[in-house]
Amino acid sequence: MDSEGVVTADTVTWLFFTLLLASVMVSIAGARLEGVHSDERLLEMRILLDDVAEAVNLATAGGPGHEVVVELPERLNHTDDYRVLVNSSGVYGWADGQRAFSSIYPVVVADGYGRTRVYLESGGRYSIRNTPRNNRTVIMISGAS
Amino acid sequence: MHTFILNNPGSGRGQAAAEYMMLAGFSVLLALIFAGQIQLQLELMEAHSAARTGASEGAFTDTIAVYPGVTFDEYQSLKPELLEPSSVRVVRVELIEDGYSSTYGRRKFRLRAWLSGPPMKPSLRESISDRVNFCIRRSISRTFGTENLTNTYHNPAFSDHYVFTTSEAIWVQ
Repeated sequence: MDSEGVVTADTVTWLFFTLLLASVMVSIAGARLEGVHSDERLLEMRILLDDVAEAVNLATAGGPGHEVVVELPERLNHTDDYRVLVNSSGVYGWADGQRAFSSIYPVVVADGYGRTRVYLESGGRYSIRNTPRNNRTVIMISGAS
Repeated sequence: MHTFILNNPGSGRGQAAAEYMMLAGFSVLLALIFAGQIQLQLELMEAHSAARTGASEGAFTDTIAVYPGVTFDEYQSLKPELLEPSSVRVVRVELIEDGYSSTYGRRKFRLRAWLSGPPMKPSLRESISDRVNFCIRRSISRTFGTENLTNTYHNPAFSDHYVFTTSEAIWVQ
């Protein structure tokens, strides 16, 4: 009998089940990877807001003159633009339709122009300084070189 | 390996025994029946897996407290506790068969998440449960590309042959 080009029934069955399982596994893995990528983006935003909130709290707790410098990344997860706002209640973040908040110890926050809602630009470097004004603690946020 | 039995050595090319033909025919029939069943079972497995992925996404959203803008605004005014990170965990996602649905013309399954987290008010738990359920349904719709068959809330969610709904999550310590 000519045995060239013959595929046994075992091989065909094995190939069928393997392809079936592989297709399901690829689909499941794809969905998981997409989920992980999305989670990573959100997690970076949470970490960023907590870092800024921690810097504000450190400046507050450090007393008059205490300064903390924060550096913000250009993008979250290398892809998403974002915005950060600091006011007396906490740090707010926006990215790709998502929002988050990180609380701070209640304190007056201001920038160099006296505005109490301070927006931080992505990729910026900021000085967060404890500056007493009229016997009150004010956290001054300004661009750092 | 199956072997052909030659009936006539003189002109035996292209011939096969009746037993072989019957066996092959029966095997093909069985294979077709089993392939269909296996495919349906795999579809159910895939949907269940998508549900678990979705539940994890939903729980993770609550864990790190990063929400879509509309939800964030609602929580800011009504449920500020949810703006703080918490530790919500998915214990398991249960798949419950609800039988044939004449409304959708498909077999219907209900998914129920078992969640674990810190003690909190029932209204907060309800919000978390709603988000996890939404993410479960959305994940199924996305996995099977059936977003166009359902509504904004992905309720119900469709796979190729089944329809899925969700019920209130069960909280365990």
